[in-house]
Amino acid sequence: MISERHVTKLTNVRRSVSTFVAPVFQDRWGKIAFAVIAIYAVIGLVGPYLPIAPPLEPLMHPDGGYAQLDSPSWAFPLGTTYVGYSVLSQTIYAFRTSLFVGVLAAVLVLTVGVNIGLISGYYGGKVDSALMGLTDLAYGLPFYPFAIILVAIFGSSTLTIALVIALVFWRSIARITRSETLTLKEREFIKSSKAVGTSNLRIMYYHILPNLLPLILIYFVFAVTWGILLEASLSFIGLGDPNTVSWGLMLHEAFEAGELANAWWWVLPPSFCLWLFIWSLYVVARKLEDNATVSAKGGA
Amino acid sequence: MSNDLSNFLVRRFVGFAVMLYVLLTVIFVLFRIMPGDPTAMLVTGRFTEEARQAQIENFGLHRPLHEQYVIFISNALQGDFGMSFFYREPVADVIFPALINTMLVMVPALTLVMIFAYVWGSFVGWNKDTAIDRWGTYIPVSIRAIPHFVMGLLLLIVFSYTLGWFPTGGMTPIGESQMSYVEMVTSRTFFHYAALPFLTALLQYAADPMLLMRNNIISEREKDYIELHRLKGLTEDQIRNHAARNSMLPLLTWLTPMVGIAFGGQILIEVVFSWPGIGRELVLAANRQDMPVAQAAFFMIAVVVLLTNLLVDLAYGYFDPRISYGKQ
Repeated sequence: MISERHVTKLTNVRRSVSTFVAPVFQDRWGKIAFAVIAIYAVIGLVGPYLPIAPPLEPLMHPDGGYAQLDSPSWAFPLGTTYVGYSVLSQTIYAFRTSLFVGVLAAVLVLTVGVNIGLISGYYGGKVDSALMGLTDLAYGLPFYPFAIILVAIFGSSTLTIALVIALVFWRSIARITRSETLTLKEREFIKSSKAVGTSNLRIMYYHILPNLLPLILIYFVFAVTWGILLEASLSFIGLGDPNTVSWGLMLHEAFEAGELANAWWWVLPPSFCLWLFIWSLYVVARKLEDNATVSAKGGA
Repeated sequence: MSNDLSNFLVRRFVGFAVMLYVLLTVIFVLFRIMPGDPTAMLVTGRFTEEARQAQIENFGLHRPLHEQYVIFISNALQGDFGMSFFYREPVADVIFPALINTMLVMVPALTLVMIFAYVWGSFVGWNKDTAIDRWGTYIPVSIRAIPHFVMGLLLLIVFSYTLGWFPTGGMTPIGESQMSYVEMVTSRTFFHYAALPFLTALLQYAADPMLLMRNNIISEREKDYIELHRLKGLTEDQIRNHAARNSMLPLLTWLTPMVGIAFGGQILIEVVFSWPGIGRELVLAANRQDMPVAQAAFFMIAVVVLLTNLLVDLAYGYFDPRISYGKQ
């Protein structure tokens, strides 16, 4: 049963979130960035159902020869790769890969980071020292080298990559969540719930967590960005999932084939798609960040 | 005060030692839970029987796990990471030159980035809400959103393949004999080869510290002493210099995560430009499953990052007398 109080609570949460996201829509760049992200999401969802050639099947000329390194034409809108794959199809299928890795990584990062920060800040004392010691440790690890080592050991699948991102990036979220929890914990409403005997779990997840939502939202966007960047980077250096199509992998193949100088149609689409996506996510995250009074900042 | 200082130093050094130890343990554990047995790599035919025996002997791979752990850590602390499976040379001989090659690009790039951030960030922040500020921040942010390797590829396509101004990769012309480092960094060839990797790093890292400096100076501008300087009749440039000097401290703190981030970015830049640095070596080792090189490269990068943390901490105390060493 949803009681009156729950409804009020939900309304409050919804209101705080909507005032929070408002600055994104205040200027031109924010609107453009948001529109781009929306378009990317749509292409990611419908991409594989569009009437396009399969991305991992060599295309043929009408005369029966393979269409290798064809420049863009009516038959092959963005040209073909050196084994004859359609660049257009690969670019479109890669939207889905990027979105999937980004969102999966962000969910994992936030699950780990927010919980560690919340527990650490709320309980304090020994729990806090132990968890923050762990966080300091994660800060000491250079991120890309660590990711490369982990992928080399555990093999490269999309899931591994998302897990690797979570394993390293939870640190900044944990720190921020902790410091926010520390200030929230001192507020009257938390003290009074404590006085009436509300359980710790309920205070943490029902009273404190909703107040962290703006922060969580900012870091969600940041984490999606990191996820996409990391997947692209690992794929580019040849440690990505070889069975999925991604922009990083496309660039890796063009680079390895030594076709950078000739096949501009093979290099520019994935480069442009990556750049525009990351740019939009940055713009949105920065607009959100400007609005939030984040008391402590953690580096990436 | 001096007692506080020595406490602070001791705490920092102990922290460093603990991190180093934990790092080695993480590496030890990781490379033993990996699928497949490390000794299996040694029998794949790349090694002669004697070399294999020496390797097993050296790392005590035939002994129980806890003894292997002790041997691993003591060897690592002496810089002995065994033999590379691929090069069949001691890992140290592969790793150290590569680390220096990475530093040759990274150190100048980060130095220039800090200077740019200081100068441009304070200038743009001082002109907040003007066209200079808007474009002066939008352009760096847009450039920053280009992933390292995409930036590298684009520069490569434009300046090497199309215009032919710079070599497409490597550090020296193929077949050229190895020079000493002093000879090398003073030669024109070196600058010719280092130009594009250097430019990529510069374009990539400049935006973040610049924005940080901009935000700092914007809040510094609100402070009372600025008004006092104005009343004293200082020129606007002089006042800005004062404010800039007072807002550079967070920039210094930023350098700490920056070194870690730069090592990450440097890996991709090195792959694009075939720069024989430690990042590229790490990637090659990972792809070749050359685990001794991979773990040593990872360890060396982590050690450099930890050392930088330590130095920045110490420098922070030196630059800001307000910091009390007694407190965390």
